[in-house]
Amino acid sequence: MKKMTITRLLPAFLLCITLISCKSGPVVIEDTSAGAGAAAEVVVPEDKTAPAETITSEDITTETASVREGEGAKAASPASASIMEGLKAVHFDFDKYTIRDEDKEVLRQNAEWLKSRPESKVLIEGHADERGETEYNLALGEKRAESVKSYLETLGVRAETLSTISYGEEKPADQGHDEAAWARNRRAEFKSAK
Amino acid sequence: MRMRKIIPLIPFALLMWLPAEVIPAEKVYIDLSAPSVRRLPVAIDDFRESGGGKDKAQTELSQTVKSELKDALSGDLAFSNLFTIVENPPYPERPAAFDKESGGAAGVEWPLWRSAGADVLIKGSYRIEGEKLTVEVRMFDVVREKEILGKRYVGGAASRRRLVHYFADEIYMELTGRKGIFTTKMLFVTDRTGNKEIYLSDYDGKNARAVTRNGSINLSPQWAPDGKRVLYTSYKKGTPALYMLDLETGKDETVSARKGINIGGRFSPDGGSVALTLSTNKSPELHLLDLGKRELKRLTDNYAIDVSPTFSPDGKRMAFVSDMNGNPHIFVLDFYANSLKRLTFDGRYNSSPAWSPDGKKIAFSRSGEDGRFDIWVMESNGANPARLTSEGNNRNPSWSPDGRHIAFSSSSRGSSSLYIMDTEGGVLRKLETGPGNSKTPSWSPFLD
Repeated sequence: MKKMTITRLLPAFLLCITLISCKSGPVVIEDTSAGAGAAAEVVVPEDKTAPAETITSEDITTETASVREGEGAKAASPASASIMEGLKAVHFDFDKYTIRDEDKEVLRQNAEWLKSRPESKVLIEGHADERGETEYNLALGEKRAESVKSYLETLGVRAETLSTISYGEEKPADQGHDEAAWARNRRAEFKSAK
Repeated sequence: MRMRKIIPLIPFALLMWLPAEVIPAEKVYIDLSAPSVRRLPVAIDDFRESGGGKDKAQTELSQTVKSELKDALSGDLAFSNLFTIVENPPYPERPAAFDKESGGAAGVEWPLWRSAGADVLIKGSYRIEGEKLTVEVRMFDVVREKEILGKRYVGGAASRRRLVHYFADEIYMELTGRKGIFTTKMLFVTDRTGNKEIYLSDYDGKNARAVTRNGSINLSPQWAPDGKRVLYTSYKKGTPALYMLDLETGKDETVSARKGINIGGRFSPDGGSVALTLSTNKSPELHLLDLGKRELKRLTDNYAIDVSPTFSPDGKRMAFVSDMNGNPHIFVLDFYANSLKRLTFDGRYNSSPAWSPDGKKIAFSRSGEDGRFDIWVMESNGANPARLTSEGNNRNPSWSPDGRHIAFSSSSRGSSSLYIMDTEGGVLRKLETGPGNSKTPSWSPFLD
């Protein structure tokens, strides 16, 4: 490095604005450099993204926001969904959404159970393991749930009784971080849809 | 001559509106385009409190302010990679070094700082009056024995770190002629409350606060080009739908809540449209939603998964992830040529592409046979992919608005944190975002 690297005097030519005492609003900047001439203040914009009361207004917006497009699936909320006894979960290979041969028998039994209870409404939840990426895993969970739904339909379950939702990697059944946990988490589960 | 934009927030302020930043025509002291930049040795003196007596609570606040001002500035300067921070001399200089009348330089004991190995010295003082915090900071050229930059900031005591980030931006502009990123922000997902909520922090992860608080699952926050609105996916009404929150007004609206998934929304560079993945036709396909006309156009049509769009800065192309060839790879759609091109051919799993602000590169995440994910960067035509990380599982790269840094999530055995690094994988810095796991950072545009 040359001996002098930063020699430029700040060419400060400032514009005046009246300064008032500010509590938590705008940050006022004053140039105090030597050679700056008369002190003057520059106001920089208020940090509008900062106030917690502004950005955490979820409560207000939940009431005012309206779902403008479509209806959305009438899925049960995560808390209210309960596992349906008699319907067994199926599992998937990594990054796959095809039904495994060993799970075809499980789905056949599930289909029989459902057909004997035609009033049952079922939500098929698709899940992924924690590997991969959030958005891809959401799509993967959707594909898995749709695969199961289609398979059940081919076995004679009425499409109107089946709905799907994907949780991607966000709701693991097993909190572990090894192959066994991942294998348990790559799944489609059956919940009661009210 | 440099001018600053004046924002008339005060009723009786003069309404002088001048052109935004005029870049100084003088020489740039640190040429960032040079192959290697020699770092300037800088000393940061402890901030001194000016002003008098106070009670115990004020003393505690004062000590917090004192240490945080220096901490924030040290963090900024180290991260800028323009400086090496040298140790302060073992003996403090005499007080009274700060003399406003003479421009601040009169009392500096130059030999003391030179002996510490500093070419540059930064000294600051602060004063707390009720809620008001005044900070004065000056930068000195120790070799030439003169002041280079001096600023006084006035703000709330809670905005102490932000005051210093403004100064770091000034230093960066002064030395390089370019805008700094120290006043930019980061959006991310954290599970600190037990639910997955969107949080907003300073670029360095500090001052994190909740953007959503709905107790459900909130994912994939993305900035609008205006730096005021956020797109995110949420289960707050039961199904994964896409919402847009205005950070200034708190207004939240549903962008898309169609049957199936409504995920991965990204604003087009002009802010007028949103690309997103919908599964209304069973297979997750990319769509483009015109926010003004509310018109929806389908962009992909296959039986595969198509997710994670990223626009080129000119808006003419869009890269995304698809498993249309079996496993996830990155493709690019050219809106004008109406063509589709595959960009990645290696790796088992390629995901989360992010187009660089200058349009030349795409950062992405890739795993090989060992299943571990790394951040890679390639040219926007797919050429010359280079790996930037080597440990942990690294995903979801997001470029700083100046294109000189990349934020990403890094996880290991279920514990996930945010990091930032330069575009060659150096100057790695873990962000202290607070408790819990943090993932999927989205780096803001410049916030003016």
